[in-house]
Amino acid sequence: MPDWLLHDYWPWWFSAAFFATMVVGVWLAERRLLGVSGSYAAAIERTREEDEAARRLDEADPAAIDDALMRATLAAFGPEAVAELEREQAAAAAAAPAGPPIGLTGPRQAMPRSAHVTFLVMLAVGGLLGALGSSGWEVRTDLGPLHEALTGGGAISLLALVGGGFLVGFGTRMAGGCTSGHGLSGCSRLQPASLVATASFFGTAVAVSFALEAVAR
Amino acid sequence: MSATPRRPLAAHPRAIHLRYAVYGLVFGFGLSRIGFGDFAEVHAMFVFDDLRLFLAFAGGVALTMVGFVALARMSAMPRRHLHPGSVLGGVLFGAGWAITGACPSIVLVQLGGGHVSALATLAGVLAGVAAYAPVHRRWLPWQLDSCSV
Repeated sequence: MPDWLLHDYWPWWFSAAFFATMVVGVWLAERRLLGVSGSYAAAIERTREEDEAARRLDEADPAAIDDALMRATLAAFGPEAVAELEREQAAAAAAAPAGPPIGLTGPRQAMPRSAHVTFLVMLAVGGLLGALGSSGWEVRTDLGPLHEALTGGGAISLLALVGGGFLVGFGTRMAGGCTSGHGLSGCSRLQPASLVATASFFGTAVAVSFALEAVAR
Repeated sequence: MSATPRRPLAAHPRAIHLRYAVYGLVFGFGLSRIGFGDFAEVHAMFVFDDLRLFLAFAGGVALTMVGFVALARMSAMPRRHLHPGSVLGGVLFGAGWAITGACPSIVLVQLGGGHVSALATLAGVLAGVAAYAPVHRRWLPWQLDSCSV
């Protein structure tokens, strides 16, 4: 094992491969796109009823769901529409016999609110393990001398963290994603909203960082 | 009506906790080892002193694209809808990221790394997320879609 893997910051190419492995791996395993701000929203915003509905859907017999859907379809559109759909599907299946199933595929499993909380808590545990390697883990009351110098130091720096944190939480919800959801999962698929949001938050962060340096000097 | 089929262990409702615990642990560890939890490293990226983190991110996007094209059916993935919040929300988030060095996952990585002051950031993030839904319902006309972890 190379020495830098546990004791230095990773080189950019290894980091890039790590990001891609995470995003593609979670998609292949879960049929969900990695996005951390969505977990905050689910942990905070989702109601108990939505959680219960997700759990019941997850535990329900798939055949019973199919039955109920078919009954509802028959009631709404009549047997002719169903027969027509079945003919279309048979024709499509004949045209592409070996292809993947046609239709929308959702996530493999419903995700309860508590699983979002698990994910967020374990991010912090992962951060702890990562910090053990480099300089040794220690409790620090600031983000380092550079942050203190740029944001005023002491209590002013703490206030800046609260205010900045609010902007992060509010802004990522407004944009509908953050560095993982828009930046990695969205930009890699060239989704216009993700490209625009990512350009917007990276651009603003660059401008504000230069502004902080100018003011602090 | 058939009897309820036996589930494999991997599909047990509780198994998702275990899987997402692993994703969180691995992602948090990696973010820490990359240096994204280090304010000085993040700031150095934003003022172009050191492009390592930027290359890590941009390279990650490029390799994810390669992985998706090779291994996944991208037509099955949720679409992201462009709306005014894509720009304005990005501006607010970008400002917050520059000030705190934290995005939603990084604040937790900082906290795990021993930075007690990240609790202040986390309090702000939670308040911001909680404040957004009512503000959206009251004033903002576009439709919401969120990152879908």
